[in-house]
Amino acid sequence: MNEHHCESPSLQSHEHEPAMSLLSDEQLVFQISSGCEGSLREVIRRYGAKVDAVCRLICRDELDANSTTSEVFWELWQRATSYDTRRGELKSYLMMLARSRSIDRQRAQRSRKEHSLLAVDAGNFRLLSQLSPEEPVSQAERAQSVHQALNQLPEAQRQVIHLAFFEGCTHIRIAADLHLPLGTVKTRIRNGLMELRCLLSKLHTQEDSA
Amino acid sequence: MNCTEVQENLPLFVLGELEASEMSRVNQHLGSGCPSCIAEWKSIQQTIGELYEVVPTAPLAVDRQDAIFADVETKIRNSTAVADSTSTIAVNIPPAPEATLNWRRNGLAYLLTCAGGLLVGMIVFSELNPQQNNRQPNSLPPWNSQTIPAIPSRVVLRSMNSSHADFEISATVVYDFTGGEIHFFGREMEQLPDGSRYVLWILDEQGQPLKSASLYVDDQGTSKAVLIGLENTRAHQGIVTIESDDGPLPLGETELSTAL
Repeated sequence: MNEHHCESPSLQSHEHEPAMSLLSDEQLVFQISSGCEGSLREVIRRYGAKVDAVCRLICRDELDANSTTSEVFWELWQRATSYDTRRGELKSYLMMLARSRSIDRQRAQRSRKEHSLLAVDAGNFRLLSQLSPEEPVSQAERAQSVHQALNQLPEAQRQVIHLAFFEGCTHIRIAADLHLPLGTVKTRIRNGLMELRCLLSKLHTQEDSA
Repeated sequence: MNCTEVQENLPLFVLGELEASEMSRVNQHLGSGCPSCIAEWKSIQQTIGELYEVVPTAPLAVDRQDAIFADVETKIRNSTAVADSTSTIAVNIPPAPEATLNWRRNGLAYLLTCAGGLLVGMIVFSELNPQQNNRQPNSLPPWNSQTIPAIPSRVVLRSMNSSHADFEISATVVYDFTGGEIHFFGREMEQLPDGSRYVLWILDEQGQPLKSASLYVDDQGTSKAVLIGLENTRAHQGIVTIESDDGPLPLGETELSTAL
């Protein structure tokens, strides 16, 4: 993988090295850990939109979201050397990082603004399914599958999943807001994720067979 | 923490919401290479990754990509200017070996008697050579420390990792490439049983040893060492192993971990 020559791209140049797009996520992280800024640019190209979307969803403020998105990739740069690609996909890692840093920023701002980006009543994913017209079809289909799976979750699980992942609430905050014991919230998040995994697996199987 | 407890805690671990002590214990367990828990961990991360597919996402304009990159690049430049030639790295070293550890059993008695050995990958390096970016992955040492590429072009230290992290110590390594010296400052290091010791190895890009030194740990868990004579070499990586006093041992036989 390292035969792909890594140059540090100039900010003035928007030329993107075509070879970079051929590298796997794992190879890119490896190159980033070697100080390859071109590989970082490629990761931004691949996942910047999704990271940015998650930051906007949770931060609910454009400036905060912009800063947080940059922080996510800065953190990837810093941690690339200790990132273990065998333990999870880069995309998932970036999503979790985006969520965590967005929550951190929320805390720092100490002003949780009400917003209208998505339905606030926990468990309602209708607005989430209103996909951007610019989204590629395959992405829209994947989103539709997840949306379908989410709506099949039991209400109690759907509620905590919604709050934890789309509202950027910590499990402590969820417990406080819903007047539930911490252990219950923890269990619901876990069971919800496990159930979601099963449902997604079934949906993927159905899609494949169709 | 057993597998059941770990798996119950994995969602909050992934969310980064466990108490520090619990985070550490889950991390240790995963670091020990437990296949079922690692599989569960990966599965949870994958599910969360899919979950975020429902977030409406428009393609990111090129100028926005450039803006993100420019932000990060500014931070990189600033940090490089400040970092000078030092950095803190963590060194993971497992406790006494357990039967469950997935270590290569190569018959060397020292591996079984020393407090476990493992190693650690930490990157020590840096050199003003842009070709460093083209390093081949198979030039990493054979014992699968997941280690880690060095930093080119700057005298900045960062990185380390271990597949079998059961607890952590911290170390700061200063590589003075001009003077050809490497200074090692370890902290919070466990005292080893009699008959075993920590050894710091400095390797080149091909994983061949350039220098080594035994590390002696004082009552405060601190260890200091200076390796000299590294001028005009391509010091690339530092690792710490736990070895028997019965050595010397060929470096190639200190291979401690197998792929998880």
